[in-house]
Formats: sequence, structure tokens, C-alpha cells
Amino acid sequence: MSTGTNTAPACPEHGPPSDPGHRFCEVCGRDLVTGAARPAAVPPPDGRPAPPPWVSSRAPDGPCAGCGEDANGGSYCDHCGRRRSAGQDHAVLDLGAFAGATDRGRRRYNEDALALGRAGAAHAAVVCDGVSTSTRADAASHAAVEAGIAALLAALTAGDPPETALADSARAAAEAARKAAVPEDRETPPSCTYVAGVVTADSVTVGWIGDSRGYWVGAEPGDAACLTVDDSVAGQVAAGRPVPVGAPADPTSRALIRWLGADSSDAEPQVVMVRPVRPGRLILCSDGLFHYFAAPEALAAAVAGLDGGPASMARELTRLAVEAGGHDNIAVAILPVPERSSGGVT
Amino acid sequence: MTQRAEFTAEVDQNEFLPEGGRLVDAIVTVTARGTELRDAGGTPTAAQVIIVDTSGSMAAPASKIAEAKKATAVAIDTLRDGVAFAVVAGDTTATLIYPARPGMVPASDRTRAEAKREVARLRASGGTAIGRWLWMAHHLFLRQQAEVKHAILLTDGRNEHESPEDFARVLAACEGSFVCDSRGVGENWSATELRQVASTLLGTADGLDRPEDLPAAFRAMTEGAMGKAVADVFLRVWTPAGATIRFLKQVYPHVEDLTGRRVEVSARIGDYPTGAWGAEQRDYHISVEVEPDPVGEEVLAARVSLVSGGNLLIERLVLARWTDDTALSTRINKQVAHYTGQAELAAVIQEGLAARDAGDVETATAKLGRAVKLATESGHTDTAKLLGKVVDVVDAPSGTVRLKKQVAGVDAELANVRSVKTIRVKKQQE
Repeated sequence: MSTGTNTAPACPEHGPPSDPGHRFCEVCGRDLVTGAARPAAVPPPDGRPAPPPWVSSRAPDGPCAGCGEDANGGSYCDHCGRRRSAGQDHAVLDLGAFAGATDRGRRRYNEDALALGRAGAAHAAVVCDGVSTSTRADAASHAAVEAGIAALLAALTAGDPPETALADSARAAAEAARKAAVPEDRETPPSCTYVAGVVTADSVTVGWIGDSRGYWVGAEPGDAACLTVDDSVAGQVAAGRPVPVGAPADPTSRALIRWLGADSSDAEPQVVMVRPVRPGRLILCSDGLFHYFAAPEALAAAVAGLDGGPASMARELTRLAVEAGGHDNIAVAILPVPERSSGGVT
Repeated sequence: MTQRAEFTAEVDQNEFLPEGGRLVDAIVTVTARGTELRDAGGTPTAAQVIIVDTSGSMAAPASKIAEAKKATAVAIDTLRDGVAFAVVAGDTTATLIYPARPGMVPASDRTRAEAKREVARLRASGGTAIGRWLWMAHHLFLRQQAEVKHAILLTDGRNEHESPEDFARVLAACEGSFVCDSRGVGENWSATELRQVASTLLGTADGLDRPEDLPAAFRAMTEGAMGKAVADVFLRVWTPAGATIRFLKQVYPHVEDLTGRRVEVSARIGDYPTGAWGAEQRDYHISVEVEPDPVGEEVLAARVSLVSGGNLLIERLVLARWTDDTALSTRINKQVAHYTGQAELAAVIQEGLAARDAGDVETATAKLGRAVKLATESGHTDTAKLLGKVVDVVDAPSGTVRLKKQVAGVDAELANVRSVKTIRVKKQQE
């Protein structure tokens, strides 16, 4: 971050924004002109008492990015008519022990979304990648991460095991994405992928629909793996699984065969659970990141070159993807798994 | 059930614009549906004035005044119990023939019988001053609280006994006061005048081929008014800062340019009157010019809604998305193309007939030839048939025509008054 001739206002907590043209602090969402703090994310009301709080990358209410007028709510600015992005162009969500970041890359809108939250000692994250060929994909991805994290935390708080909680979460996310459609969308309603992870004291569990991924990146060199199998023809073929009837015939096709949205009935996630014996981290990400670091070893190598905590690491990973080309939106969540107290490795 | 109406709307457009593109065209189809329109007992209150031409020419032939009286009686019989009504006889002045005292009375078996007795006594004499007839109706409606105010007007002649300026002034004063459907009978009525009444007072205009058709026409117009379920409906249009509405037209069931009828609500919102709605479908063509944005940007070019008495009935969005994919931006929307053609058809018929009346054979031949070509291409067979009475068609696909030497006056007026009627695009063309 250069400060040279930068006269843009800075956030009192997080310093100047990465781009002097930005009106909001990308860390906390504070309005740098008025100094107003971003309103706290309020999860939807739930029958249970005091649902655990969570944060998402949704853009706060505020002036239109297109014309600067204070145009309230809605998908379009009430003054200039420009579509209001559901998400922030850049955001870092920092919950201390775990974190996430997103960046719009070279795209006009950021249609990737992420949400993080805690349920007791469990750490949870949801990442959704808006399908770029659908209309207003950001509406689906943001609705999905928020419904997904709320359902996930509620189920974990109620004592459900992670795999059951992830199934609840995916169903809630699918329902929310479906409801994001409006008549104007016609045959291309908003749609998105879904990947969510839960890290507890002794397990790492990932659930997904679509081609966003979960990677295990251990602290030790060589300890890295992709935990998910893409819901695309290429992904199924690579995993030695049968390709569903009606999918594209090209075995290398990356076209999605499962996704969330009004034009899909998919709501059951694939789920995988591992019980790591050594420390490391679960990394959930959209293809905007793994396009450049597809092999687990490549991602592990990139991570090994980074210092700092999870927030800094998430931000640096999005930066690496942007520098590598940034062809698509990027969203990444990093959930560290500390050394087990019962484990013997030092 | 307190639901007042079931309205649905659809937007048909190609929202993709090339880089630098500014024009956004969309067809908005609004449908109001049948039986659910009003809960029982929630029928809107209505008032109707029947205006019948009793000028001297109505006696030649005598069947005209005879059928007009029969038609008025049918219209009276079609009124729902309780609907306030009055009957006005029009010649050089306007005479309230029922009720006896100035005002309107609720329809009942007794008042209907009384009114029909007065109608039977009508005699034809005097001239034609349509503005004065409408002025009388306007004053009758002023004291009515009814939600749906409807007049039907029958004439057989041109508006010869008042100046065009006086006529225009009265029409302007009546605007928004009531809806008027008008019909011409015989050979001497003016399509231009009836279209003027229909445009300003949001009704329909047509000519009748034979006096015997009058009773059915009066019944249909009265039934239409009795079937109106929501009165005073406005099309509300929001456009973004810097955008201009090039035009807003009703394009189905007939062409009606509403552009100039805008009532400002705020800087970016305007209301356009659409009158009363029964179970029916109407199409609107909106054309907005927007400031171009970079490729990839998406802008709301217009938000179109239907409002009545402060209630939002339905809302739809017209979008603009800039793309460098020419396969998307050059795609022609069938509905927009169809109604652009239908609006041009109406215009060339009116211009062609005006040129023909002015003796400009060259312009008339060119315009009416173009009309024949457009009518043929769009499958508008009724209009093609009417045009065939005004011109000899040499080759329809190329629009080659010759003006007919002898044309019955009424054929040209029928072609004119019906020029604004449109057809919908056929499903298989979509």
C-alpha cells in the first residue's frame, strides 16, 4: 500500500484503503467519508435463542458506487439506475483464529461471497461462487452464504454433528439462492456454487455443491490434498465416477452439473470428513483462486511463502490470484487446525 | 378476500446494448384477469351518459334515427341496477332528455322504462356540435362520485357547427373527467374527430358499416364499461437520472401515443393515464434513451408500474446491459419489431389518407403503398382489406399500389379510424 500522494481518507483502525478511490474500508466496512461504522450483520430471526453471530462479505448500505448518491436499498440505484453490487469489491473478514477474503479480480462485479461464524469451539465458513452466465449471480451467492452460515451455526449450536449441520446448511443455501430469482431473470436466474467447512477440535468436515473447492494444507511439506470432487464432467471423470445422464459428452467439460438457483433442484451436498493428526489448515475457495493453484502442492507452496495470521494470509492469496491474471472473482476462507494437545508431534 | 385486482405483467426486450449504445426498447404486456378482479359486492360504482346524435341528417335514411333509438334503449337495458345514468340528445346544442331534472339517476326498472319512453320521442333536426354534447356530459359527471365514469357517443356527421378551436378546448377540459367511446354511422362522420375524442378521453373510436349494427355496438360499449373493475389506472414510469423517455405508447389493442400525457410525480417519475381496466390485456411500447455505460455494466433503464388510487398493482423492470458480444447486442426483439411496424402502419395510413384528401397523389400513393406492404407482412388482414377499398393493389409484397378513382367516403374514414387497431405477434413467430 503506497501512501505517497494518497490524500484519500483512512480508516482509524485499518489505515488507508488499497485504492484511494474506495469509499469504504475493505477490512471493517467503515464509511471513510462520513466515518460511520458498518452496521453489524443481523442474522435472520430464528426460533432458537440468541443464534451465534456471523459475518459476510455483503456490501453495507450506502451511497451508490456508480454516482455517489445516497440511494437506498434495492438491486438498482434509485438515482442513476446502476445495478448495486450485493457484495463488496474487496473484503477481508477477520475473526482472529480464522478468516476469509474476497476480491472482484478483473471483473466488473464481485459475484463471489463468503461468510464466517463460530458455534462454541467450532469454526465454520461458507463460500459461494456466482455463476457468471446467470443473471445477477451476486444475489444468489450472497443470499446463499448468509442462509448457509446461519443454518450451519444453528445446527452446530443445537449439537448436530458437522455432516448433518452441513446438509442443513446446503439446503438453506439452496432455498435462499432459489428465492433470489425475479421474473426479469427469465431463463437465466441467479445461481451459484456452494462449499462450506467446519473445523472442530478433532475433525475437518467439508460439504459442497458445484466446483468450489476445499483443500487441506498441512504445516508439514508434502501434506496437502484437495478434499472435494468438482461437480463437473471433468471433475467426475478425474475422480473415476460415473457422469450423470444429460451432462455434456466432452470428458474435459468444466460445465457445472450441480449448482444452486431457481433453475436447479440440487440441495444435498457431498460431504467429506477427515481427522487430521498434524496441524494445518482447511482452505475453502472459488475457482478464481484455484485456477492459478489447482494442484494441492501448488497451493501449499503459495501458502508456505506467506507470513502472518489467517486474515493476512487470505488477503495475500487473493492478491496472488489478481497478480496471476485475476480472470475471475476470488473468495477464500482459511480455517487453521492447531496442533492437537493429545498429539505427539512438536 | 380484500384483493382488488389480479394484474400480471411481462417485459419483452433485448436488454443487451453494444458499446456506446443508448436506446432501450421494451414491450410491457399487462393482463388483468377475470373473475378474481373484485370480491363480491366490491364492484366499482359507475355512471354512464349516453349521447345520441339527433341532427337532421340522422333522418336520411330514416333507419339511422330508428336504429339509434333502438341502440340507446339497448344500452339503457344493459346498465346494472344502481348505475347512475343520463341520456343526452345532440344537435347544434345538447339537450338532456332524461332525467327530467338536471343530474343523473340510478338505473332501476322504473327509471329505465321512463328513459326509454323519452328516447322513443326523439326526432331528428338541426346540426352537429360534438363539443357541446361532451360539455354537457362533463357537467353531469362533475357531480357524480362514481369510480367509473363512461360516456358513449354516436354521430353521423362532421363537427360542422362549432369551430375546431372550441372543440379542442372542450376536449382538453373534459380530459380525465370521464372515458368516452364513440361510434360513427352513415357516410359523413370524420375519423379524425372520433380518434381525437378517443385519444383524449381514453376510449375507443370506430365506424359502423350499417345502422342495424348500432344496438349491438351500444350493448358492447355499455357492457365494457360495466365490466371495468379498476378505475383511474396510471402507468407509472421511473427512469434514471440523465435518461429521456423517447416515447411511451399503448400498442395493443390499438396505438395510442401517451408520451405527451405525462404527469410529473417527481424528477424521475411520471404518470401516464390508462383509464379503467376490466378483464383485458394491453401492450405498451416504451423507448428510453440512456447514458451509455462501460461494457459489463448493468443499468435499470425504467421501472414500469401500474398504480390506482395510491395502490401499486404490479411492477416490472426494463434493463440495459452493455456487452461486447455482438451476437447478443444485435439480437432483434420480435415484439419490439412487430409493434414498431404496427405503429408505422397506423402513421402511414393516416398520412396517406391526409395526402389523398389534399390532392397529393404522389405522397398518398407512396404512403398507402407502404401501408399495404406493412399490413401484408404483419398478417394484418383486416387492415389490408380496408386499404383495398381505397387503393388498387398491384403487388402487395413490394407495396405497389394505385389510388382508386372512386372511393366511398365511408371507406376512407373506416380505414382511417381503424388504422390504430393492432394485432399481436403470432406465437409461432416468437
